[in-house]
Amino acid sequence: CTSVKEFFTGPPEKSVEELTASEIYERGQAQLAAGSEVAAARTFNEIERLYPFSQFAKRANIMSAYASYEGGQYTDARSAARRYVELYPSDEDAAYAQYIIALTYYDNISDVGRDQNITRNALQELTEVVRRYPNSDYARDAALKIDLTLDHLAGKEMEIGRYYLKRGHYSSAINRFKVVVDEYQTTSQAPEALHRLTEAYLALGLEREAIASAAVLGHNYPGSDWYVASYELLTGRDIVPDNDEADGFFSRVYRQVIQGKWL
Amino acid sequence: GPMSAHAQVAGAGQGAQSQIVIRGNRRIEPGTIISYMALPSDRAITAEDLNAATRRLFDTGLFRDVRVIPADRGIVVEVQENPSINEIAFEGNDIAKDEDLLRIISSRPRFPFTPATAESDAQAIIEIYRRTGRYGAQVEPVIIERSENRVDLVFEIDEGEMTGVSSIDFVGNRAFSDSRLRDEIETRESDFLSVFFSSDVYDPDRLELDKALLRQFYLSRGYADFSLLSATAELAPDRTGFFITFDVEEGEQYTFGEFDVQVNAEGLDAEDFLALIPAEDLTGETYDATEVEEIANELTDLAGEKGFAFVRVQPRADKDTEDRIIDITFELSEGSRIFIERIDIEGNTATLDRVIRREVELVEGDAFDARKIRLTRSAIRGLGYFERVEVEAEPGSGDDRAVLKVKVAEKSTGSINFGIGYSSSAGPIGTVAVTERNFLGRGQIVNATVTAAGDTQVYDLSFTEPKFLDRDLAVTMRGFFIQDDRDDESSFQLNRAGFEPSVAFPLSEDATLQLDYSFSRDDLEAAFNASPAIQVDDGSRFKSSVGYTLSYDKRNDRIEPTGGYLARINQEFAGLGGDAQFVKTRASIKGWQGFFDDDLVASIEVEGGALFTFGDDTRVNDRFFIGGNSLRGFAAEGIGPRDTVNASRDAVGGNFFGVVRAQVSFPIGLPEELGIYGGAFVDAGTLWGLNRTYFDAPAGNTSVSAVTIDDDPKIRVAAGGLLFIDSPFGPIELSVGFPIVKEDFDDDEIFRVSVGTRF
Amino acid sequence: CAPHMRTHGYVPIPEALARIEPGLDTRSSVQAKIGRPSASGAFDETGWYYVSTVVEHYTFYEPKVIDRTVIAVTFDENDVVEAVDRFGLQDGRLVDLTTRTTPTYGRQLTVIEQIVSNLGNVNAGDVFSDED
Repeated sequence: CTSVKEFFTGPPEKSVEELTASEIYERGQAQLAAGSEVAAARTFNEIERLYPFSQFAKRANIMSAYASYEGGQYTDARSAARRYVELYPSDEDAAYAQYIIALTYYDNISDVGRDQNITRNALQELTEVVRRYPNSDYARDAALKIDLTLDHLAGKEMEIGRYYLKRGHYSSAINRFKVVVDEYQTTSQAPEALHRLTEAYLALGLEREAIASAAVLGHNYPGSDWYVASYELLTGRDIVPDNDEADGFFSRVYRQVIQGKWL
Repeated sequence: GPMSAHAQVAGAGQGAQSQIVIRGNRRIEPGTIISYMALPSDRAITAEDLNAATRRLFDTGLFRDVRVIPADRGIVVEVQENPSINEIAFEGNDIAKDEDLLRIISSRPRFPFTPATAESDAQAIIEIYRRTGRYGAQVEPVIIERSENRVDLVFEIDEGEMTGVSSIDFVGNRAFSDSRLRDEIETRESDFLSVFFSSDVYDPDRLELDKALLRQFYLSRGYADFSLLSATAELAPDRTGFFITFDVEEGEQYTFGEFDVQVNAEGLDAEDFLALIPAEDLTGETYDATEVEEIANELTDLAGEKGFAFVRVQPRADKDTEDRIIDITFELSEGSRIFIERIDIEGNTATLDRVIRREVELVEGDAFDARKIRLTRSAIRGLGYFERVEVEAEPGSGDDRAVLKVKVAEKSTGSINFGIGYSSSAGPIGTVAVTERNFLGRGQIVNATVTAAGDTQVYDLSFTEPKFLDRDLAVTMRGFFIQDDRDDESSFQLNRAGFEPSVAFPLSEDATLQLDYSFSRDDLEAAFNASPAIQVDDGSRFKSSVGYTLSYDKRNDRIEPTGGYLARINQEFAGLGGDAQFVKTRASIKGWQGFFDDDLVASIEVEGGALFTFGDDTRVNDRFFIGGNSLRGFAAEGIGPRDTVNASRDAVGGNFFGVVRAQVSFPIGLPEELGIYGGAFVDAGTLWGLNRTYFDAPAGNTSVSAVTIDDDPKIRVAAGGLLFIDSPFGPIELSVGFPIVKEDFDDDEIFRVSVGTRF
Repeated sequence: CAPHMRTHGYVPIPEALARIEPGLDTRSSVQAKIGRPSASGAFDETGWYYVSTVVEHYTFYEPKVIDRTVIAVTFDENDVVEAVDRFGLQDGRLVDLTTRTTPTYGRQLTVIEQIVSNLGNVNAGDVFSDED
C-alpha cells in the first residue's frame, strides 16, 4: 500500500540521475508549463551536465536560457544563452539565444540619473543580434530597441548638460548638448538639446550662435514646443504664457526636494 | 602534422568547401566547425589556409586535438573535443571560501575543459594567497574522468604558512644605526608580537613604501647625495620568512645656500614668488628635501591664483661639494595645457549622478588639477554611501584633453528592523524602525521609528535634505512623540512630544554651524514613592527654545580617523515663550593618534556641560545624567546627586558635568576581514550642582520622607577592557569596566553592550 | 569666514591674446598659441569661445557666478581670424530656464525596492537601547 507521505505527494519523484535525457526534458517542460520557470531551468541544466552529447543537450541549453529569462534569473539566462551561441553559432536558435542575452540587459536599464553600464551592454548585444542574424525575426525588434537605448543614453547626456546649465557652467553644458546633437540626432532628445544650446549661448551673450541653434531647431522640428520656447527666448517676450508651474520658492522646493527633479 | 608550407595542395580544387569531411566530433556540429575554420571558398586552398584553420579551431578552446588532412577529393578534419566540465571543487582551502575562488577562475561547469585554463586558474588562486602574504601556497588542478567525455575539475590547495619577515638588515649606513633606520620603515621583523600586528607579513607594496620612506628620511636630514643601491627580499629555503637587505650610499650632509626664482613663462613676475620663500631662516640650516617640495607647492598655488593654471615649478639644486652647500633655484615654466573634457560617473546603481557630481571640485572644461582630484575623492568618500571610490584621469580625445573617471561601488546605506513581542504590563509590542541615509539615491536622510506597545507609543520621524536647493545648506525636519521610561533609575515616566526644524551649513573648510528651533511639551509622571526631588517636577510644561551647534572637524579621515581632532560646542536657549527658561551648554573635544601603521589607534575625549536657569529651579527633565555610554563602568544615570534616604534611591541628575574618556584599540591577531579588535579604556567624570538641596515630602504622601541631597562634585574613575565587533548590525562595543573611585551610592555596571566603533 | 572663490574654465592671458592678429592667424596657429577653446559654435566652426567663470561660495548662499570672461575668436570662410572680441558677465542675458524635460524611462529606484534591499541589516542602535 502507498505510505502516508506518498499519499500526499504522489509517487516519489525519481532522482534526476536515474532518468533518461528525454524524461528529464519532459519534466523540465512540465515545470515550465506549471509556471515554475526557475526549477525548469535547473532541470534543463541537468541534461547538459549528465548527457552533454545527447541531441537533447542542445535543446535543453536554449530552453534553460528561456526558462531562466522568464523566471527573472538574468545572469543564469545570460550564461546559458552565451554557451549556446558559442557552441552552436550557426544554428537557427542562435539568433534567439543572442536576443535573450540582449533582453537580460535591456529589461534592467536603470533611469538616466544612474549608471548606464547596463544600457551600453544592451546596445552592444542588440547590435550583435542585428549584425549576425540580420534576417532573423528578432532583428527587427532588436533594431527598434536599439533606438530606445540610444534615446536613453542621450537622456543621460541631457541630464548632465542641464546640471551644468543650471549652475552657470555654460561651456560645459554646451559641450554636453553638442554630443546629443552630433551623435544622437535621431533621438527624441535632439529638439530639447537644440533649445538648451539656445539658452546656453544666450546666457553667455553669444546671440549669433543662439540664433543659429534656434534656426536649426525651427528648420528640423517646426512644430515642437521646444521651438516655441526658443523663439520666445530670442524675441524676449512670452507669446504664449509658458505652461510651466509658477516658479515661486515653494514650487521649486516641491520640485527639487520632494520630486527629486534636477531643475 | 599539417602539410609543409607553401605547397599547392593537390586536388583541393574549387568548391573545396563542399568536400570537407568532419570526423570525431560529438557535441559540436560540422556546420559550426566549418564556420570556425573560415576556409576561403573563392580560390584554391593552400597549406597556409589549412594551418590557419587548424589554429583557429584550437583557439576556440573547444578541441583537445585537431588534424586537417588533405584527401584526394577535399579535406578530412579529425577533431577530438575537449571534455565538458561536470563539477568544480576546491580542497584544502579554509582562508579563502569556495565562492570567492569560483569567482576568480575562468573554468565553469558545463563549459569545455582545457588544460591551459585550468593551469591559469591555479595560478590565479596562488596569486590570491600571495596577496594575503602566504608565499608558500601551492595549487594543483586535478582531473577526474567521468562518463560521456565529462570530467570533474578539483583544485588541491596547500595554503602554507604566513610568510613573515625573518630579518631586516642595512648595508653602507654610517650616520644612522640599523635599529634607527628600522623605526623609519613600515615593515617589521616577525617577533612574539607578530601574532597581533600584520605589519610583519612580507608585502612587496610595503617594501616599495619603505624605499620611499628611507629616501625621504635621508633627504630631509641633509643627505642630498643619498642613493638607495638595492632593496632585496630573499625567501628562506623553508619558505616561512624573507631576509630583507637595504644597500644604501649615504653621501655627505649638506646645508641650504641661496634661493632664487627663474621665470621663463610669460606674464609672471619673479619678485612675487621670491617673496614667498623664507630664505632668511633656511640659509645655513641642514638641507631638507620636504621643505623644498613644500615651497614648490606654495609657488604652484600662487601661480594658480594668478590664473596661470598650467605653470610647472621645478626646483633645481646646485651642489657645492667642497663646503657642502646647496643653492636652490625654482624654475617656473609653461607646463603642458591639459583640460578635463568630460567627467563620467560609473557604478552608481542607486545614488543619483548629481549627488556625486556636486561633490566634484572640478567642472568639465577645467584645467587638470591633481590637488582638486584628491579633494574630490575624499569628499565623495565622506558621503558614506560607497564601499570603494576611485577618481582617476584617463586620456581624452586629444593630447591636451583628459577624461575624469569617478568609479564607485555602492553599499547599503539603510537598515530596517521589526520587533514584535508581548510584555506583561504593556500587552503586544510592535516596533518598526526604518533608517535610510541615501533615500532614493538623492542623498536625503530618512529616519522613521514607530513603536506601539499597549499604552506606550514612540513616533520619531525625521527628514534631511543635505543640499537644499543645491546650496551647501542641510535642512532637517523632525517630529517626535517619545515615552521615556526612567522608572528604575529615577522613578518617573516622561512623555515628550515636539517638533524640531534645523538648518546646517559650512562656515569654512572645517567648521560647520547648525541652528535649530525646538518646541516640545513634557508630561512627567513621578511614581508615588519617587524621591521628593523628582516629585517636585511632576506635571507638564512647554519648552520653546533656539540653539546652535558649532563643530570644528580637523580629523584626517571622517570614517576611520587616526589623526587630528573634532571639537564641538552646543548651546540651547529656552525661554521664547513656554514655561522653561534656561541656557544649556555642552562642549567636547576628541583627538586621535594612530601607531604601528595605524594598526593601534589611541583617542582621548574631554566633555563638559553646564545648565543655568533664570527664575525657578532646573527640572529633572533638563538636567544632565552621566553613566553608561557617557561613563563606562557605571550604569545609566549611575553617578551624580542621588536621594539616599528614600527606598527608590532615585538619581536626580546635576546642573554641571565633566568627563574624560581615554581609549586605545589594537588588533588581537584575528584576520583583518573579521573586523574584531581589542581595546582598553580609562573613563573619569563627575556630575554635580542642584539649585536647591532640601526637598520636603509632598503633602499627604506618607510613603516618602523629606531629604537633603548632597550635590558636591566628586570624581569617579573606571577602567577596563573593550571588544569591538564589526557585526552585521553595525559596529558594536562590548565593555567590561571596573569602577576604581566611586561613591558608595553610585550604581555601577561591569558589563555593557552598545553601539560604538574603535575610532 | 570670508566667501571663497572658485575659478572654472580657461581664458588665455592678455599677453598671449595680444599675439593673435586678425587677418593673419589661422585656426591652427591660434590653437598653437592659445590652445583649443572651451566651446565652439554648434553647427559651424566659425566661432571659437574661451570661457572662464568665477563662482563665489559663501556659507549657505547659492553659489553665485560673480565674474565671467568670454574671448570670442571668429574665423572667415578660409579659416583666417576675422576678429577677437571680449565679453563680460554683463553681456550675458539672464535666461529663465525651461523646467520641462523630455521624458526618459528606465527602472526607477522605488521606495519599496530600497526598503526591501535594506531588509536584513538591522541597525545596532535600535537593537541595543542607547541612552546617554
